[in-house]
Amino acid sequence: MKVEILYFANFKDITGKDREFLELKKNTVEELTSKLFSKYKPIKNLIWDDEIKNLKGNISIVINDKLITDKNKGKMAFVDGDKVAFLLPFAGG
Amino acid sequence: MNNNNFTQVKSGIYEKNEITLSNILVSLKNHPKIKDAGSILTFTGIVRNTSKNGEQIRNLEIDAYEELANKSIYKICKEIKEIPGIVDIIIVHFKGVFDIKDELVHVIVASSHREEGFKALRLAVEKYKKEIAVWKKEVFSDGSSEWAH
Repeated sequence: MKVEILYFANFKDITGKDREFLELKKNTVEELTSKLFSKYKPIKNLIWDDEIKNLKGNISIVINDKLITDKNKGKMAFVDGDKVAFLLPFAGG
Repeated sequence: MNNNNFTQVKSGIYEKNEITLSNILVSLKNHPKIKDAGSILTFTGIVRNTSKNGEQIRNLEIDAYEELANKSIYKICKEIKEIPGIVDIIIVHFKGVFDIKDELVHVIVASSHREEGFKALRLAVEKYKKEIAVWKKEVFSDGSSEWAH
């Protein structure tokens, strides 16, 4: 199963790209973050809280252009072709 | 007003300099209910030469998740237009690389009377700051940079 991950702001600087496809087997946020962290180590510091073993509280997940407000956002599952983004708090001009 | 060559400006994310404040004013004045308005208030956010912490800034970069940001801008405009006395609102936020003094955002409100216009303008500005998927990178005078949150 493939998901398309979009990169904005800090994520774009770290990865050097604005999107890419990643292959997943378990379809979970945990699997996706694990793949991301092994590929791009600085992303872990950006979005992961080691104490709570989950995404930091101020990190949002967007799936298919829809903001996920579920409290258990770290436990979400994906389907093939989903477009996913992790977002830092917004800062308009 | 001459309606020939009129292009309606939609609220949303645009490339730097893609639209001017003048374009937006013309668009707003072509709104079918503009005759109900007694005022047009505008807010323009520009690039300041210092960060929140007082560091000197050389320039600014704005990145946006356009699909998501446009949805939020639409929602803010819808909420503002539901306020009694508000005739129309247009929010235009730019993305790209900006120098000091460059325009980053325009919020324009047409209202029956100035009081509700001022309140709606302030509300719209506070909302776009928090609710639209936009980020800014401050590039400091020594060349280092940081995404502001």
